[in-house]
Order: sequence, then C-alpha cells, then structure tokens
Amino acid sequence: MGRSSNIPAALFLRIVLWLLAFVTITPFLLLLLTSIKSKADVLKGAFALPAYPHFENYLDAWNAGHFNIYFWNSIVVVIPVVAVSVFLGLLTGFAFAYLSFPLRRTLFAILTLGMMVPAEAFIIPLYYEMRYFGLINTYAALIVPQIAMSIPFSTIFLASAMQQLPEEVLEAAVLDGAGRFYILRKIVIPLMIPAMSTLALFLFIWTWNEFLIPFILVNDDAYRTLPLGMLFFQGRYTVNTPVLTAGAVIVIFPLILTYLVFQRRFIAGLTAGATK
Amino acid sequence: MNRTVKSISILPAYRLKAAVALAGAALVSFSLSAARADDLAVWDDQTFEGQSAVIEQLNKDFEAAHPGVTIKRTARTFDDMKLTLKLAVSAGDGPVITKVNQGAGDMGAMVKEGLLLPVDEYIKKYGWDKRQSDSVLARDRWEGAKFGVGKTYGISGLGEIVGLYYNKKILDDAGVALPKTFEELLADLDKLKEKGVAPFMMGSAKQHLALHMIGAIDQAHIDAANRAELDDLIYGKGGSWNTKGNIESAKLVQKWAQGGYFYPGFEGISGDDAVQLFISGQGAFLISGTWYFGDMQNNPDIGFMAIPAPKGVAKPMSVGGVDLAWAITSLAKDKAKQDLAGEYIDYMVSEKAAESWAAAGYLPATSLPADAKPKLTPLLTSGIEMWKTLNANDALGHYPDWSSPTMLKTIDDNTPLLLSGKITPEAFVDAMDKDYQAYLKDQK
Repeated sequence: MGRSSNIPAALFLRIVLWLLAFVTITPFLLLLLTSIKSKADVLKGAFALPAYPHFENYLDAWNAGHFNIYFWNSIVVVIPVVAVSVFLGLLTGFAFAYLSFPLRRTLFAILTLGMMVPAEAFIIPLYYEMRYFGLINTYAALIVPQIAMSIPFSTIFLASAMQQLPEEVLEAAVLDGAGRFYILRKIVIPLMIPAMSTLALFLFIWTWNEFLIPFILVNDDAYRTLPLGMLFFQGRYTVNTPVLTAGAVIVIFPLILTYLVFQRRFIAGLTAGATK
Repeated sequence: MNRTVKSISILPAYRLKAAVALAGAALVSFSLSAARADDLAVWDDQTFEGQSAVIEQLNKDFEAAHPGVTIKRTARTFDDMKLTLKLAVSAGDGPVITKVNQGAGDMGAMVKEGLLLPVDEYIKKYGWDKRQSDSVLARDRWEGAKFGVGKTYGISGLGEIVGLYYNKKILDDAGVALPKTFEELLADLDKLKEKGVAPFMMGSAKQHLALHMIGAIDQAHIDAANRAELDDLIYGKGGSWNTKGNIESAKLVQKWAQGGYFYPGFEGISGDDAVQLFISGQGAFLISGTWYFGDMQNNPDIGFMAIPAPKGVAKPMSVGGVDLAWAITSLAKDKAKQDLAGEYIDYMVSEKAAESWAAAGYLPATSLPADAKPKLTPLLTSGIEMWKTLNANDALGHYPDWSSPTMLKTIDDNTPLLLSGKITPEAFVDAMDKDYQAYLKDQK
C-alpha cells in the first residue's frame, strides 16, 4: 500500500471489499445449507439450521438424477470444446491482431454478430442441419455447435489481448527474421498463457452449464449432460427443493474447483506487469 | 448460457512464463449408433424421483418379458415435452411411444399433422375400455379440430382428482366435525375463523391453488346427470363460462379471500409452499389434487375427501382428469413396431402397473386387481375409492384451463385481481368467457 496518510482510505476500501465478498458468497452458503436440509426444514426459513445434516440428499440427487451417466458426458463434451476453441481462437485471434487480409473488417463484423445472436434464435435450423448430417443423438451434436458458438468470443478475446502486447518485442522478432509461426509459438503463446487460462475458464463454465443444445439436439439419455439432470427433481406440481439444490451443488462443484485451481494463474495474469 | 462478452480488461503480461500446455483434446469417439429394429424409443414425463423410479422398474420388467427389446427412455418435464415433442417427431428423430398432453395445443395439433396413430385397434384387442371409463377415454379423442369425439389417440396411466384435504387434528381441536354437505362446510369455516384458525391454507403467488378451488367448488354444484354443458365447453363445442354457478363460486372465493378465511399473507406464498405449510399443520382445509399425496402423507393427521355436495346434488362432479396420455407416433413405421408399441402401452395401463403406481403412492387410472394387496397409505385408499365412485357415476369433471390454449394464462392473470378485490366476480368470469369465445371464433 501507499503512504501512511492513506491508511483510513485503505481501511475503508478493505471493509467495502469484505462486504462485497460477503454479499457474493452468502447465496452459495445458503445453497449449501439448503442442500443438507429436509423438506420440512426448508419451510422453517432460509437461515434456520436443520436438526442434522441430510447428506442423503446428495445420494438421491446422484442416483435419481442420472448423474452417473450425465457427469461423464459433461466431461467428454467440455474438454474438446474448450481445447479446440482456445486453439482455433489463438489462430484467428493472431490473424485479426497482426495480419491484414481481404475482408478483414467484414469478417470481424460477422464474428461479432455470431456473438450477439442468442442460441434460441438458431436452434431450430441447427436441429435440421444436424439431422441432415445424421448427428442427432451423438457427442458430435453437443461438441461441434458449441465449438462454433465459442469461436467468436475466443477470437475477439484473444485478438484484443494480443493487441496489448508490447510492440517492441514483436518488432524485434520480425527484424531478426522470425516467421509467423515462430512468433506465434515462441513469443505470443507464452505471453498469452494468462489470457488463455482466463478464456478456458469462461468457456468451461459456459459449456458446462449449457442447457439448450443438449436439450434439443440430443434426446437419448445416454448422451445427456449434467444440467439436464436437474429435471428429475421437478414434477409437474411439486419440487423437491433440498435435493434440487444438492444436485445444483454437484453441478457447480467442478466449476468452483476449476476456478480455485485456475484462480492463481488468473489473478497472476491480471496483475502481471502492473508494477513497472 | 449465452457466450457474450462480459467486459473484461486484460492487463498485458510482460513476463515470460513457463508455458503450460493446455489439456490435450480427449479422444472422443463420435459413435453413430444405428437404431436397431427392436429398439423402442419412449419419451415420458415422469421426471419426479418417485415416478421416475416406477417407470424405470416397469421398463425393466417389460424388457425382461420381451427378450431382444431395448427401451430407450427419455424423460422430459411437462413443459419440456411441450417444447420438443412435435419437433422431434416431425423431424423423424423422436419417440415411437410418447406421453402427450391432451388438449388443442399438443395432442390436437399432432393429430392434425398426422404425427399420432389411433389406438382404437388396441383398445379392442386388449379391452382397455373395460379398465377405464368412457368419459376418461373421451379425453384422448380427436376428429379434426373437434375434441372428445372420433378416434382415440392415447390412454393414460394415472388419474387425478381435485378434492378437499383436511387436518383432522385441527378440526378436532376446534370442535368441528367433518362436513357432510357443502352447507356444513361453510358453517365449519365460520367456526374455525371464530376460533382463530386459518380455515383454508392458500397460496396464490404461483401455481394454481385458487384456480382449482374455484373450479372444484363450481363443479361440486353440478350433478353428473347435467354434465353435458361442461363437456361441451371443454371439448370446444360451444357454450359459455358466464354461468350462475361460475359467478357464485368466484363470489364465494373472493369473499373468503377478503374476509380472512385464507392463511394470512397467502398472496405472497406459492402453491407449493402453501402445501408444505399445510403439511406442517398451519391450516384446517386445502383444496387441491391427488398429485400432492406423496407430500401429504408425511403428516398422518391429513385426510382427503371429495368436496361435499350441496343439498339436492346426488352425484356431484369433481374436477379432475388423467395424466398425459401414452400414444403411438407416426414413427412406428411398420405393423410389427406398432403392435409392439401397443403391447408396451397395454403393459403401462395394466393392472400390474397400476399396482406398482399404487405401491409408490400414486393414483392409477386403471382399477387395481381384485386380489391386489399393496400396502396403501390411508390417503391413497380414499383417493382410489373416490376414483371408483367418480368413474361409476361418470362424475369426473374437467380442468377449466383445458377449454382453450390460452385459458390457463387468462385465469392466472385474473385470479390475483379477483382475490384482491380489484375486479368483480362477474368481470373475472367475463374475462374467461372472452378468451373462450375468441378461441371458438378461431376454430370456425
């Protein structure tokens, strides 16, 4: 921190940050708390503690929600989607950041358009397209469209990150006669690691939580992913709130884990070079 | 989730770091599984845990009895079914057997587009009409845009009745006897209110407790002998919601809402929460359907009965119906597949399946076998008794919202206004009728 005259200001900032952290984390704690209640406990109020923790909710969620199948499907879908999207985003991002090619502006505009259009708008044509290719009820139906949906964001995100790189480094490399691939491999990628991890994290969260694509393009239980498992705790007239929240905790647990693993790199990426 | 930019500023990274390779893409096998001839794609709406377990058991039993047949089950919630079923069947990737919601928006539309096959042949072959009453089967009949007549396109496995839940302990403590007539019920309510007990548990923020209350009170005043008028309304043959009975029911419910007969704060409580409050002993009566049996049995003081009939009504009607119907889609291309589908549905509405449903606490539409000895909860015992009586009397009524595709929304929009006294009972019934007449005009 700065000089001593700033102590009250710094303290104030700290209190504000702690308050914000508290406000952010409370809903998650409530979710955890609800997931170990019985149905009767839920009515006693949001903050009332259960007589004893009902961990059986988690077993119910895992067994009744077909989570044992859906969990692996989610893994099988999310890994290629994230890996391929980041890789392709690197190439396209590089092109938009450093190269000049015909129709560059137009293509960029089309890309941004791809990011604006909600999935609901193209899901029906997509369904027929996938059907034409014979991909309904396959992993490809889940993976390929999600890669396509991720590319605009990956490209724009990585292109803008690359444009932030210090030009001197790149100029020096060009003067030394390095080729494009060499520059990408040896200079850009190492500097892009933090941005790439951030991007991977976003894509992971979005793909993991995607509901509409697996819901419409796959109607075979063997290919469904985790968010669809939440259906099993909502009847037409009734909702089993504790088990539903237990299911939600299972669904978000890998996300939180990933975030915790990535966050040091994430923060490092955000703050690296902040001190000259 | 939409992949959109959340404004993120990436600060430049000036320090070279050791490159960390991203996880390599996992080898993913794109298996293009061809459907085998004896695969049976089945969609059902039994997503709720207890129901899902019953279906999975029944499917296992069917597979065991038919070696070589594999059932590919997909469960979808009621709303999800509405969204995806037509698309999947018309595209050719949907189920061979499906549950489908009766009504103009779903079954009616699919029949019109030739996506469902009639099941009359199987009704004859297996004698489904001996297991379920004609007025129940009529709910699956369509002829063009006409509902309730013509060929039959499905059959349901579960029954639903809207009736009166009561908490015996609260009634005893207040010195109130179970009402035998509608007039006695009204007297009971007054007595309970004097004693400072909430006569009715109610929650109108979500779900349809108030709608079912208005419908149930109205239909309890109709004798089954005069059911034609109500049938015509529901089956889109015409008529009007603007009846004395409907206005009286709306008046009564408005009076209760305004006069402190409902649980305090009911406007902010959802129907589901109201049911949970009722189970925890917070009200004497609650009007809703048999689908809450599973929750209600957690409190042994709670009983279930038909809405007591007013004097002079011998066979009162009860709002109710059946769950979504089992139907065979146009994807059952050849006779062999169709017959297998027929056999599957027969199994799903068999006495044996009825036993499984009853054992799990649900009300089967098919009567139980005479020698069945499942351990029934007291609630289900009274539910099954009522189901028998209603079918024998041909007194199973209708959900008002079945009468037009938009009726549910119209009622939902206007119920809070009625309960809070912002509109008169006449205006409420008028809004329903306007919706209905507009729908009739569309049909012509």
